[in-house]
Amino acid sequence: MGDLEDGVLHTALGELNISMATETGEGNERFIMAHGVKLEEKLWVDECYLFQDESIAPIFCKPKLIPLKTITTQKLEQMQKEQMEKLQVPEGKEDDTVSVESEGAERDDAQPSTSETKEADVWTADD
Amino acid sequence: MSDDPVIEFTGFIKACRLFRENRLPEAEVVCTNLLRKNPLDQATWALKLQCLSDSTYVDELENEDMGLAETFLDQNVIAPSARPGTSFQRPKTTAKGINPILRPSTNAGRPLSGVVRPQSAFKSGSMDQAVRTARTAKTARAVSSTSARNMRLGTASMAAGADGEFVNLARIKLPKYAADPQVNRQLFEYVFYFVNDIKVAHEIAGIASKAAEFEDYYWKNQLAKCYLRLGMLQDATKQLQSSLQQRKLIETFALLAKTYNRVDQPMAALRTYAEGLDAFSEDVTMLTGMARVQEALGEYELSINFYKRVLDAQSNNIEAIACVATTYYYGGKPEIALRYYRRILQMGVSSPELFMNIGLCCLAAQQFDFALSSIIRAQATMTEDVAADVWYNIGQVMVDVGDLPSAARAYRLALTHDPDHSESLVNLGILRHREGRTDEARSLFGSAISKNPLMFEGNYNLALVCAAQGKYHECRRLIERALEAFPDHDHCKRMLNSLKPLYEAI
Repeated sequence: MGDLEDGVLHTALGELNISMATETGEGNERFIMAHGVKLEEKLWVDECYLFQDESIAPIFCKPKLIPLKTITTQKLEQMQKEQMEKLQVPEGKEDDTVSVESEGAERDDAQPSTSETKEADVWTADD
Repeated sequence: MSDDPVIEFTGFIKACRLFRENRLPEAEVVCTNLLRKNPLDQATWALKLQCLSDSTYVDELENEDMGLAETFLDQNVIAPSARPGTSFQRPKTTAKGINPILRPSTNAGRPLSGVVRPQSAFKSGSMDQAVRTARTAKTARAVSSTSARNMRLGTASMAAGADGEFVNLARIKLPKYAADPQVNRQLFEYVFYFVNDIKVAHEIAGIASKAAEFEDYYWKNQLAKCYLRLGMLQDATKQLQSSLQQRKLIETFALLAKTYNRVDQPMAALRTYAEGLDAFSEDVTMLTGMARVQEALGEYELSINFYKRVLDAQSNNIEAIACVATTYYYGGKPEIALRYYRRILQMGVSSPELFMNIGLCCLAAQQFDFALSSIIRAQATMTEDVAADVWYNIGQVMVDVGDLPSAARAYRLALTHDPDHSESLVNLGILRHREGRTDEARSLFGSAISKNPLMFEGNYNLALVCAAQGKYHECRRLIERALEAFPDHDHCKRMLNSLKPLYEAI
């Protein structure tokens, strides 16, 4: 762990040295800067604080943009819903074959109802 | 004017007009009455077939619903150990590739896209995981047939019709009708789209193609569609290539590329799309296809460029707008994403998903007042299939606000709507861990991982808890799994390095 952090420190210092070198080495450039043509921010080692410690924190999952539905998906869902509605109607007519089939289809397809009917109690005493 | 007699169409003409006005059920009723009078009227028969098939028509290019068996047991993949970047299974994992911390992935392990596509073809994870995942509204996936959803639609429409099946496929003289160019297209579409009997549809297409002396590109495409549904991908490719030699059609290029995608050859698919673009410059179907493939490969930059070209050609393409917006959002530019989503809103789409996304963009762009109203709107109009995601995002907002108890409640509400919502499990686990309830946090992280083993955050957070508890072996295993999802994560590498001496000391 320590090695990597030292590496980071070295590179930071390295960059500072370079910037100092340009500062001291090329007086002309500085002159131009004095006329306001080019402004640069300089950082000096003794003016900086360098923090090395870093705590490892748990990572939250990020906000999730919900994917929109394409037209095909919408159409498929719509069709499925319509067909299910069509199936619901003959059930009232007590048509044996149809109602048996529709029940079968319902059991097969109405899986979402598991998540609807399941009344999970989310509240606990400490909330 | 009022003296003019009102012209009322009757009989077959009326049916034709109703059909052209897309009033399919009415047209069908007229046809049925006509057929009662004269059961041998072929024109009416064909029209009724057309009405029925149009009512259940789904664009075959977009229809990529696949069952479990096709997804996990198929042997079609040509190169099972492909080089990185040449397979959907092994997207590039370089720095510019997928960064799972920045861009979340779906439960199947694919990076989140702007739109839902029935594109489960690009599998990830194992069959084991898929079977273990509880079947809910979102994960309901048929176990066997490719066309499971369609099959059920077919059965439903059969059951609903009082007279039973319109055409008795077992008794019809297929060779006679399939060879008749006047009715064979209608018959094929009826069998393919309405009855969903792909074997019979294939037989019809075969006979018709033969009757047309193998020179009709239409029948070659239909044969290819049948082969695609039956999972005979090599034959589909052959038919499509031969069709392309006859005549270049957008549909043919797209179907060919789809076939290549199914055998996990994204490069070949891209090449096909490019050929299509040569023939039909700036065609939206081709560009969208290329954008999707690039997105699935994790090349967001390229994908976005294609989507932008789509938008140049067709500025109201919702899929393109949504995908560009998603990439901007996760690229740290929520204001620009907001503009794209607002554009969708302007076009008249007002779904809860859209409002939630606008809310999230506003929140990230510091427009708190509008964020709140959009999120409230999303919450008020949400349907069961997005409820979990909406509550999850509300939890995120609560975390940002700093109201952690409310955030925990929102996450638990998300979990009641979808017990498999792994992101909610992870975030709830973090909140529990902060409260000092470590065991509860551990079990939440654990169940998140069991729902979605490829998830980076779940593995990483559980590893942190394990490290704190001194369970170094488990920690190492988890870190290695986290590194699989995100190979460049610095903290993971450092933790792994710090664990190494413990093993060497023994």
